Formats: sequence, C-alpha cells, structure tokens
Amino acid sequence: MAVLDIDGVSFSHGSKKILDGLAFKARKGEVVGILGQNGSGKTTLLNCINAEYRPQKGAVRLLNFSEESMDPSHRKCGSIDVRELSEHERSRVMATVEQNSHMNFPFSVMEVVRMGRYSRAGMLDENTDAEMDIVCSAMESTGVLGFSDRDVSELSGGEWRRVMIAQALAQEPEVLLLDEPTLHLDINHQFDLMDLCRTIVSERDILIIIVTHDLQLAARYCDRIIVMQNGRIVSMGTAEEVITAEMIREVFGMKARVGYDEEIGGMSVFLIGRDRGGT
Amino acid sequence: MTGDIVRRSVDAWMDESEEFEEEISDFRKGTLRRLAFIAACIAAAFIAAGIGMNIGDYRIDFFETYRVVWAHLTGNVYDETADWIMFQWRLPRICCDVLAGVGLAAAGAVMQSILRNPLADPYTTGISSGAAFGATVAMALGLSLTASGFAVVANAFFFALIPTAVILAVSKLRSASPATMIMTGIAIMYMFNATSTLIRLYADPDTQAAIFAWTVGTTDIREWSHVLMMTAFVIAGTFACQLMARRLNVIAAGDESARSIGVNAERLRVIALLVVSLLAAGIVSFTGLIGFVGLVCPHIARLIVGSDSRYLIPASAAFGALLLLAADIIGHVVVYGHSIQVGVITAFLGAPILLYLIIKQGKEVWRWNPSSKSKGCRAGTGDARTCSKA
Repeated sequence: MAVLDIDGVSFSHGSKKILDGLAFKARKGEVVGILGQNGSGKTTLLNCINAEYRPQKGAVRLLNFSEESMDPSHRKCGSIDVRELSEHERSRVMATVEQNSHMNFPFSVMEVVRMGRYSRAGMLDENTDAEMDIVCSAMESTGVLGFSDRDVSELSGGEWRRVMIAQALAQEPEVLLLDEPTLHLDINHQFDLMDLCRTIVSERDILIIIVTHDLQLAARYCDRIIVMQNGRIVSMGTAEEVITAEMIREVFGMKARVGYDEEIGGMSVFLIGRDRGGT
Repeated sequence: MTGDIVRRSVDAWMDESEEFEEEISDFRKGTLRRLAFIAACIAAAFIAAGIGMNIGDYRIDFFETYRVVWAHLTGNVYDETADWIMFQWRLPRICCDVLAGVGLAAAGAVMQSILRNPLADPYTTGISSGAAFGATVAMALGLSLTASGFAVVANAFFFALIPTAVILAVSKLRSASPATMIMTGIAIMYMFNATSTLIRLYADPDTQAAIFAWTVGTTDIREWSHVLMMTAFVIAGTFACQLMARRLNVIAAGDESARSIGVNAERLRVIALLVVSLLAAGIVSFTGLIGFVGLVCPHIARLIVGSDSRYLIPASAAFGALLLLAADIIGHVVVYGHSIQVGVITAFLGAPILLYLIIKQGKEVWRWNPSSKSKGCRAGTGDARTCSKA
C-alpha cells in the first residue's frame, strides 16, 4: 500500500537543474533511506516531498491517507498533490525534522514537543489529560521524557535532535521525513537514533524517509535505499541489492568491502579507502 | 468483543495517565507559577496606580484615591475638589501609563517573536521614528495650534505606519526573512531621524520646544478623548496579539519548522506586524517616544514565565504597566515640584536593567545562530564538494 508517490519530479534552482525526473513509491511501515553525496539533491528532494519547494515538473502525491486528517473537500480523493494541501492539513499527515533547526528562545522540552500538537488540538483542549498523554508518550518514545522541563538551549545536539523527533511524533504523522538525523552525533547516539526509527516504524506503522550520506547506517537500518547522484536516482532497492562495492565506487568514489554479516544480521560496509580510478 | 476493546483502550489510557502523572503535574505547576507572576504584576500595578494618584500638591490619601474614583464612577461625588483634581489631572495620566505600558510591552514581545530578535521593539522597527517624524512635520507646519493638538496625533499615526508598509514591501521583494525586516526597519529609522532633525534645525524656537517635549515621551495627557482612543487601540491590539500567541511560539524554531507544524509563517508574520504596528502607532502618536518598555519588559518577563507567548504577552503587558507607573512615580518625586517625563525615566531605569541582565545571565536567554538559514549551508556544502574534487 503506497502512501507516497514521487512521480517524475524535476526541480531547478535558477538555471541549475537539481532534480531530474525522480520517480519512486514508498509504503507505510518501512524506513526508506535516500543516500548520496553532498549536492546530489537529497535535501532538495525532501523539500519537494514536504512541499517546501514546488517541482517544475512532476508531482509528489499522497495516497491512501487517513481521511480524518484532511479537510472535508480533500477527503474523498484517493490521491492528492502535497502542494494542494494547506499547511494545516499537511502537518497532520507529514512531519519534517530539519537538519539544523534551533530554538531562538528558551522554551522547555515539553513546550517544544507540545507545539507539535498545533494542527491537531484546539486552543482549549490542549491541556486535557488525553492531549498531555500524547505529548508525553511521544517524549517517552524518543527518550526525552526524563528531562521534560529542561531548557532546550542547554541540550546537546543529540538530545535536541530527539526533542525535534518527539515534536514530529506528537503531530501523529503518517510520513516522517528526517534530514541527516545522525549528523554531528556520537557514534553510539547515531545507532540509538536509528534504533529509535525502527521502533517508531514498527510501533506506529508509518513511513519514515531518512536523508543521509552514511552508508553503514543506511545499509543496516533501511528497508529500502534510494541512491542519488547529480539529481538522478542511480540505484534503488533493498540494502542487499543496492549496497554493492561497485555502487560505492561509482557514486562515492570509495573502495569498499561489502558483505552480509551474521553478527549484525544485515549488510556491513567496510570502507577501505579512496578509489583513485584504476590504481 | 467491542466492549473488550473499549475496556482495554480505557485501561491503556488510564494507565498512561498515571504513568506520566509526574511530568504532567510538574508542567501544570509551571503554568500556575506563570499565572501567579502575572497576577502579582497586576496587583503591584494597582498599588503603583494608587501611589501615582496620590502624588501631587493636593493631598489625597492612598486609599482615598480609589474611593474618589469609585465615587465618580458610581455617580455620587462627595469631594468636588478631589474629584476635579483626580479626573482633570491625575487619572488620565495614570490611565495613559497603564495603557502605554501594556501596549508597548505586548508589542515588543510579539515583535521579538516574529522577528526572532531580542532587539526588536517599536523603536528598532522604525515605528517610533515614523511617529516622531509625523509629529515633527505637523508641528513645523503649525498644526499643533489647532484645538486639541489632534492633527499632531493623526499625522504621527499616519507616519508611524509608513515603516511597516516599507518593511512589508521589502519583504515581499526578498522573501520575508526576519533579518531583512529588522534591517529595513533600522534603515528607515535612520532616515526618519535625519529628516526630523533637519526640520527641527529650521523650526522656530517655540516649535522646537514643542517638538522636543514630544520627542521625550510623556504620559501627561489631559484629554479623556485621547485616553479613550488609546484604550481602543490597546485593548484591540493586545487581544489580537493574544489570539496569535500559540502560532507565535511555533515560529521561534524557524519558518520551515513552523510550516512543518502547520503554521504559514510568512502570512503570520505579515499579519502580526500589521497588528503590532497599529498598536504601537496608536500609543506613540499620543505619548511621544517612550523607549525601552517594549525592549526590557518582554526580556524580564521571559526570565520568569519562559518563552511561551501565551503567558509571555500578558506577563510583559502587566509588567509594562507596572514599569511605566513606577517610572511616572519616580519622575514626580525625584525632583521636588518638578516632574520629569516618563520617557526619560524609562530609559534611565531600562538601560541599567538591561545591562545587568545581559551581564548577569549565566545562560543565554537568546541565541543568535547565523547557521539557521539552511539554504546557505547547502550552498556551502556544495562548495566543499568542489573543493575536495580540485
């Protein structure tokens, strides 16, 4: 059951073509990794999915969304272009955690997570127990409940990332978009965060799309991987299909050893070094 | 079967409620603390208003002041002289203190939120300078000689809206980023100030004095019609701000985050700026330039009630009223027989308070993060890639 249909999306910034006819579908209950080097158009693709940018060609459509999230006029159509939704509607279906967001003012963790309820709860029922429970359980699942009253400006990068994910979960989205969620995190926190993504997907049955340039994490944690280069999809499929030594050499210019690892129970990538063409 | 599902979900719900009981009750206690601060400010403002009404050559005791006001309102005046002095001289001033404090502080709180900048207030966005310019022009043209000086007020109001119009126009040209808006405001402020100075240079001494008095900022107005008009602006404006409060919170994490949560950040910014400009212009046109209230009050309130605009706006407003009343009292007692304009006192009070807060603060209440614009970052990473290739 597809929830997201990326249908021939092309996007140019001025005269520079950033995305060139991308097409794929994604389902609920899976973690999709978008892999590629800096400048390959990963984040732009994410911004087309969440309707931040308007693609010049093609469209991003939502399919089989839950009808109660939509305004009455959009309820009955089976598929809808994300650009046609109002911010309010979109935020009930889709949540984005940006790469480098930060708070300008000293809010507490709980306050920040509660903001995620904006499009779901009215001004008056925001303080009910039921609402507070949704907020608290979102905080619990990302492990930030323990410091719910801390000031967000005092948090470490990893803690802040988890707060932002909790905020996104509080939106109760069907599609969760994460832009480089593991960037600047310690190695153990990177794995925690990816574990968290897996738990969220299995508990809440949603679609998570992760933009990353981390081969190892993508290989281990994503159900499906889409590899991008110069605004095009060069490879797409399960980790076993996509993560190959050839792909890594061609796209990342790295020599690597790839194989199935018993202990991990998945693909392991061992980077040997820079591939300098033929040597 | 269905009953079973319902029972289970109810159990689960009850379970969760207990599970998070501690966090929820902590959070609610926090809310109570904020409400307590607001209530304390309002109570203190009432006391300050009493003291303010009590100051003057004709002696009316502290408790007597409220009794005189009550007697007038209920229509059985018992002390004609006290009543006359109160309603002709003292009460309009006190009302004006409260209104200007509430309005300017609320406007400051909202501006800081929408522009994501701690320096944003009616001053730095050019609204005050616009009003000053309007008043200067009106006085230089001799309009102040008309009946109640109303032309000055109208002109000030009109010119106060020009900076907002320019800010909005510029932000339409180059997508409405907070930095663009505040830079535009500052540019306009300098332009208006320069033009005002130019006019003042060529004005005759009497007009110069009038312009000077206006520029300093005073709440000493006598006209009840002015007070009523200010009341309308302040009540409508502050109420509108409060309605936007929840959305203003969301905007603090950036426009893209706000959109992801479901708020059209750009539209909110335009609407909020319009509301706040009308509010500030509605005050500044009557009182002249009262600085620092819009800057300092939200700053202090934020330390105590946090950043949630739903509490920050009323807390700033209540504190603003208190601050202006206090400034007015100080202005009337510090030099015997003379009153110093409230604008001077707020600057004298506000500047050291602000300095103290900036220096004393362990944690940064406000962070300026130049990397907040992710587009710039993306371009940067693109460069890095080409560099590594070379």
